Amino acid sequence: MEEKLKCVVPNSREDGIRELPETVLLHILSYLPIKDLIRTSIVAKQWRNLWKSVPSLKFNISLCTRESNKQYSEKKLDFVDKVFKCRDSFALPEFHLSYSDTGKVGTSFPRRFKVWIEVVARLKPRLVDLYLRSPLRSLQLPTMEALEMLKLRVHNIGYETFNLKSLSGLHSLKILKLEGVDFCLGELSDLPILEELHLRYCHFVASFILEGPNIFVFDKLSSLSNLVLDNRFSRSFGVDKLSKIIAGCSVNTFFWSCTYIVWSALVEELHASVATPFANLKSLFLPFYCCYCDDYVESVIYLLQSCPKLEKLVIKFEARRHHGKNECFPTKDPPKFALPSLWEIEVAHDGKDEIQCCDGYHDNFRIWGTADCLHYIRSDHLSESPIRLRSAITKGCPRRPPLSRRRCRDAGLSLVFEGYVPTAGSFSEISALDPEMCVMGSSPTSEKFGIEEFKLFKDNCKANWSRKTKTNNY
Amino acid sequence: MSESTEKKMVRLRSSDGEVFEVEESVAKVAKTLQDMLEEDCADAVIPITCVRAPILTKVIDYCKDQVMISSSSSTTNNPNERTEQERKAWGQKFMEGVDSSTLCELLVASNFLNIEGLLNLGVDKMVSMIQGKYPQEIRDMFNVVNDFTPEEEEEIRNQNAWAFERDPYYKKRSSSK
Repeated sequence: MEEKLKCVVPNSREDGIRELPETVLLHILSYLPIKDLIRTSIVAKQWRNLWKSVPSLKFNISLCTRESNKQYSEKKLDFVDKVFKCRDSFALPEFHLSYSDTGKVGTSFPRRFKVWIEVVARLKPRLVDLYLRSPLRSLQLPTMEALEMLKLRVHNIGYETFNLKSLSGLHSLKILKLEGVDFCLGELSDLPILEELHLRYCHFVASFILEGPNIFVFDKLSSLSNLVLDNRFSRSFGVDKLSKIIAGCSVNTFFWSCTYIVWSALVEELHASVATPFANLKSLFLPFYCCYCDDYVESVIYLLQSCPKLEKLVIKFEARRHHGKNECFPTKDPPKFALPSLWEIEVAHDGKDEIQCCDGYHDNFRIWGTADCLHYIRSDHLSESPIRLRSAITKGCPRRPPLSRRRCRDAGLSLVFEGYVPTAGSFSEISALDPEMCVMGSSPTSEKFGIEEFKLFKDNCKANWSRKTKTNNY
Repeated sequence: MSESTEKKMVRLRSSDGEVFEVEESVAKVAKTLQDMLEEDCADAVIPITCVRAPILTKVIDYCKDQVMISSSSSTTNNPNERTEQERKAWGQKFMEGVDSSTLCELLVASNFLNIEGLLNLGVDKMVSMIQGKYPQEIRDMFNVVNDFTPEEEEEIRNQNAWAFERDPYYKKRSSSK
């Protein structure tokens, strides 16, 4: 009887949008750019004042040199003032501001911004998201008791630093994301229920964490479960401190980028300090930005040894600056370890610059090396757990898929071709795969192998597959 | 009627009197219905007074799909599981060809039945329809009657002149001709 339910929805009544509850309408309006939002005030009387109470305000102010007309810039800033004047009494759960001033024309911005943030603080926001590219060099945040998430990204021009003066008065903060900001690490102890901490390009802070005496701050952050340390251009790493942080706060998701360092040496150092430094870790993200080391497979295996509870692993390679030999497989007998809970691996490879300057062997080896690493983990260390491999390979890199047919089938892997430019031949190897496990990701822009060919390939797979399996779900 | 089958069925009546019979798990995608069913205060036929039959059909389609996805997803490696991209594509396909008044009714229904996923799909669609449009275009799209007098309209325009102005670039370009 359920079959009869399938029918096309015919054209319906006229009153449409007037029937919508105001909360839904406000929700819709809150996604509009501010200009569009205000334009809705003259649609009809019902709409006139709606824009004043949307639950989320987004300002995107960009004063670039081309618009260096000062009057125009001031007008844009005036406008924000006006919006805040209208809002006065409504609560504002979300506030987003993106301010970019490359021509240094918004001279009144620092003064105005102070007022805006004071007003916002009175409106009891739960989320504040700021992007600043401005003459402003420091910021004193007012007390915001209800604030749960603070995102502050500062684009520093030159080597000027941006100082965040106070984090006290943000007692409900759960997520803190800072980029290009320096602050006193001691402030973190005023955030009792912090769960996520992201520090990107906070060079001073990062080196302080890892080298300075202020490590004790992290002992107080007992609820911290998600830590991101992304300081691509910073050299300093005091690894023993790092492991203490991870162990001390029971962090279970860890994103760690490192550059300009020899990876295996680093990992060995880590092992020397604590036996299993990442004992509680469930997700590990390792983006390698132009790493110099050749023995990354070994490094990864070393590292994985210390994460017995790992469930998800993401490795990203950017091979641009690679120079060195091609030996990437462990030569000696690799150490034994088990990853019984691992179920998702994502490997991304960005070889877009590499392709011009190296031969086919060279640009394949990383993928093959990586795949081998995975295969190695699977066959030796995973009991029955199926891995879901998402191999996101960016454009132009490999001419072969990352795993051979047998390996995919054995492991029950699903392959996702994301931005991958396959040639017709590249699929011959994996034609015995379950077709439903192959997903074409974004931008399949090969002339030789477009979407049509992919369909054909899938049909082929289907034929092969149904011959093999009697129970066909599709 | 199928009382003794293994799956418990729930009957829903739309505002125009049509009765739909769905599995309980499908009905429970709607939080409002879930609450009713769990508190056991649901009658033999649950009246859904603000939703017409064609809309309810669409809503049920959505719920069925949700059940299909989640039924076997407790373990890993579920073939029905979708990646972010696939989910997006599916959502777009689901909303394809939905006209403005149907969309409004869908929003009302998903708000009333408390189906967050469907509400978000509708909101996204609505936003993409409204974004970048002039007030007159919005009025036309949703059959809204302009109940302002020209003077009132002008007054509001003046209050927030900046939002109604065109980009100064265009101005400059056209004036320099």
